[in-house]
Amino acid sequence: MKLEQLLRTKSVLVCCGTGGVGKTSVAAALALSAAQVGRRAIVITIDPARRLADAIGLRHKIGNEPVLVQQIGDGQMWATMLDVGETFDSLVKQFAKNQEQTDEILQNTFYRNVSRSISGTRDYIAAERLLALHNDSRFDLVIVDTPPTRSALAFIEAPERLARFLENQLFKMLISPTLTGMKLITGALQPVVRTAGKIVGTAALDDAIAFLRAFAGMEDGFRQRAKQSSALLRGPLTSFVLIASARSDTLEEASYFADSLQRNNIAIDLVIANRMPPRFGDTSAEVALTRSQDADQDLWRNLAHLHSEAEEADAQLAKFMLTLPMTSCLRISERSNDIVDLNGITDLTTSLLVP
Amino acid sequence: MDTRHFLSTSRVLIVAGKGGVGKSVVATTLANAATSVGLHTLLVGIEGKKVVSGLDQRVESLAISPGAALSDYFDSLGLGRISRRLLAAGIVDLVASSAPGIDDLLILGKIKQLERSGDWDLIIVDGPPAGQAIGLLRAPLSLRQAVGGGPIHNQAIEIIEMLADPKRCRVMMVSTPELTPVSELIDTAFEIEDEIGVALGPVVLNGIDDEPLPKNLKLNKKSELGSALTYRHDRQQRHALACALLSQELPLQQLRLPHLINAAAVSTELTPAMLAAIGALP
Repeated sequence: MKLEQLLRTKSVLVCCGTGGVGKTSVAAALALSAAQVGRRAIVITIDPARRLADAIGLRHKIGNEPVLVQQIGDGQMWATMLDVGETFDSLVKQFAKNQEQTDEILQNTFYRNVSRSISGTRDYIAAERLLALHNDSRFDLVIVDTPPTRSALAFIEAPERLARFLENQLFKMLISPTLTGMKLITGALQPVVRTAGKIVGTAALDDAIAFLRAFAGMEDGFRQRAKQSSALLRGPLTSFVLIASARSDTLEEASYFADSLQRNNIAIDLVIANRMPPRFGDTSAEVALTRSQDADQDLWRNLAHLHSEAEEADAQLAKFMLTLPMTSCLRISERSNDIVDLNGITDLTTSLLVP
Repeated sequence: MDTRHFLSTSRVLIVAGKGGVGKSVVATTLANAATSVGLHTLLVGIEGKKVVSGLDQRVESLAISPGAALSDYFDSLGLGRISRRLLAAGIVDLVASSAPGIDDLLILGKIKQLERSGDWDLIIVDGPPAGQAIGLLRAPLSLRQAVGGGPIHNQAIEIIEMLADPKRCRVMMVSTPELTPVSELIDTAFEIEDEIGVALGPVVLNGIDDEPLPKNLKLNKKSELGSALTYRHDRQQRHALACALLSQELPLQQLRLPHLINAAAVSTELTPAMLAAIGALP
């Protein structure tokens, strides 16, 4: 599908790909492009580089509150950072039976660890945040920059994993109200808990059990929510955009990403090949080399060198795109400067929205 | 410097660098270089990923992941069957979350076990992205404090011993020669050495374009030849600036690798370049 069609018709765009390909800048540029075609778009950035955070006005932002970056006619570009802890806390507040349960959970050491630790939780929370913004009437397109991870599916699977976990028998036993402290844990659970205690120490485990008990009654809310996130991600309103650069090693990783998405029946609607080496005129590297008998042979040799780079990148990209025959590919030329401000993002959108 | 001597300075080399700088390619290249000078070498990927192409067939490789490392650990306690059940139940995630950093500790524990086995002259770890490298290396320090006893505490202490001993372990950081990644590398380097106490090896600058270019030509900058030369010139200037910044801010030796047209030419071009760069160290 063409980018403009995605920007006009979809409600969620998931930007996936490995780190170091300019994913965050491209995600921001997608939001700005969407605003240019009249949509109210918000980009969720995860851990942006300092200068990019500056560029989209998020440098000194703490917490989840969206910031309006630019208004273009009816279109709007918004941005928000993902605050994992705050998002988790707000879910607890939403699903807790009463203030007492909220307090008990928010103060639990185990909960603080789970909700603030970087890995795992972040994927789930990003999906949760995506759902919240999707349901927010201020926005009609949510663009998410996925957390840097090697596993393409971590983000999509996170809500499903949580839902599965909450339905698990072991979990249900652990939160059963008859359980008071370690002493009453019997039967099938005993070796499990004993083993866990050996590893993390009994103090940490007591915290975990206290958390699970405090959590009792909230699991339905979390499970429903996780199922909604999962349905949104897999539904027709969502498109996946794979962002890659044309270096052979990063394309190798992109293939691995694309494979695992496809194995899980998730279609990639668009590939954005970022940082493609530029070309200067139409002379091929081969022809440029034959010109090196001329007076300005050094110049032709330089052109040949740069065009070999461009041709190599094209070949690598073409090989990669063969594995995705139904997907269109949008190329963005390498820029000579880092993207440090909104002008850089605007500049990027001009390459995205070529007619 | 003698290559074999250089590559046997520490038993474990952890290669770290932010995404897109060619960290895995550099790790592979170092493994090839070590093998070519007769060192029995193991390349470890720590995110359960397959090793990049271009690895010398004589290098052994191994992928470790936190899940598998935890499973091993359960097995070593004689709890194999339970561990599988725990994994299936997702309880491992839960237990791991109750003491943050435990997955990092398990990975380092596995590396320490490989190092202790004495089966290899050199173990090269294709490490995590730069930001996460700090988390990985810091995990044993925070866990030693958080867990007041038991196997995890002891494990943390043994790993800290390995990390603090430059004969056993060093970190080699990788960057492309551009200002943003180089400045990030400088910050990370100080954090790793001063705050965590792990020794740093030379920094690898990957993809430097410094081929001599024609000079002082009266060119139309808009022509294809003119714009190509301007582009190349600007790129070389950026690379030179980044290299200069690194030399000025970070008192570490540098291994400079050339910009390759085909970044995948690991065994044919990059490995010889790595050997030459090491040989050129004072």
